[in-house]
Amino acid sequence: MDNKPLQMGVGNSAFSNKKLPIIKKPQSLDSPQITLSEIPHLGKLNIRCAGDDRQQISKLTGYNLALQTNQLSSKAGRHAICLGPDEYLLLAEQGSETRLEKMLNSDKIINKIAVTNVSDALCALSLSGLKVRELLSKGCAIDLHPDSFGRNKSVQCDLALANVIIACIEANETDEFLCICRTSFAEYVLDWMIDAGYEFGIIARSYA
Amino acid sequence: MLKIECPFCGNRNETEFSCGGEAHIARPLAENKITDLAFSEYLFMRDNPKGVFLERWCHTSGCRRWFNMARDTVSHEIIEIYAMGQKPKTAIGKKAFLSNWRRKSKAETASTPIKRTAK
Repeated sequence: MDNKPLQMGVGNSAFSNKKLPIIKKPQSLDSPQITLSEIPHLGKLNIRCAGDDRQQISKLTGYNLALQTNQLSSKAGRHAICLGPDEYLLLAEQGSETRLEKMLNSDKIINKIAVTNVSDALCALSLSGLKVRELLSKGCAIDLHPDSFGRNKSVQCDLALANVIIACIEANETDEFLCICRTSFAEYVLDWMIDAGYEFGIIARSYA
Repeated sequence: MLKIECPFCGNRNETEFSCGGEAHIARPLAENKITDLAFSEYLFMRDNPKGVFLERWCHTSGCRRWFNMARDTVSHEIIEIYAMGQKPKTAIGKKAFLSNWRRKSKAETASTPIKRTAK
């Protein structure tokens, strides 16, 4: 890997003003074992709803909300994370979250729902590679072994004291994880990940 | 560090939780018109027992849900974790609930509506 400064995100993403450090790969490693990138402008909706309304919301939006707490469901690249018995986080492509929000708020069948657009409050980081589990386990006390933390599992915890949502999107040789944190903590979380991932070889990539 | 079993997230470290103090403190209803002294029992008085204590806890760093816990303040043993709005189910928890001075306090008695007889 050459020593060019790495660029993260595009436009007004959480890291647009951040000058990223030059990351050198440890010489002992042939290839970086973790790839880290921000998913800029990902639409995020926080939904509070009663159990009876879940079916209608699922039907309307196409997300599967029949989930237990700390589970994730994926459908055509769109993810829904269950944050609590009556709370969900919907991830949608940029721009589509406002349409979803309007659709849910104006639906006549849904009895009680609170939709909050948290797109700018939260920042999504994508992590993949062989050593992602090892990297994350350096900062949180969650059992991240594939046997207990497999595909479609998510968890809300403290990662190096910053509150995050960690979700496993793909569990295979090159695990794919999603890490969602507060935008105000994003720079810190990113710095921590780059530092903690140094020993494994980490490459920070732009999605653009 | 305590290991606390969150009803929704499972076993987690104590650092992820915050304690909300004594559980089962019912607010007196306005219609019961109790004295300021009796209301101050509800407002200010908190128990601090040596032994089993019924507390409210919140999983702040996780699912952000509240739940009740019966905990021994001497040994830190967690006797029972039960949902909000419920009463303890274990014998030790029940005893701690019933023997609390608050069960006989005027403030708690005034937290239930006045019984009205049908005319």
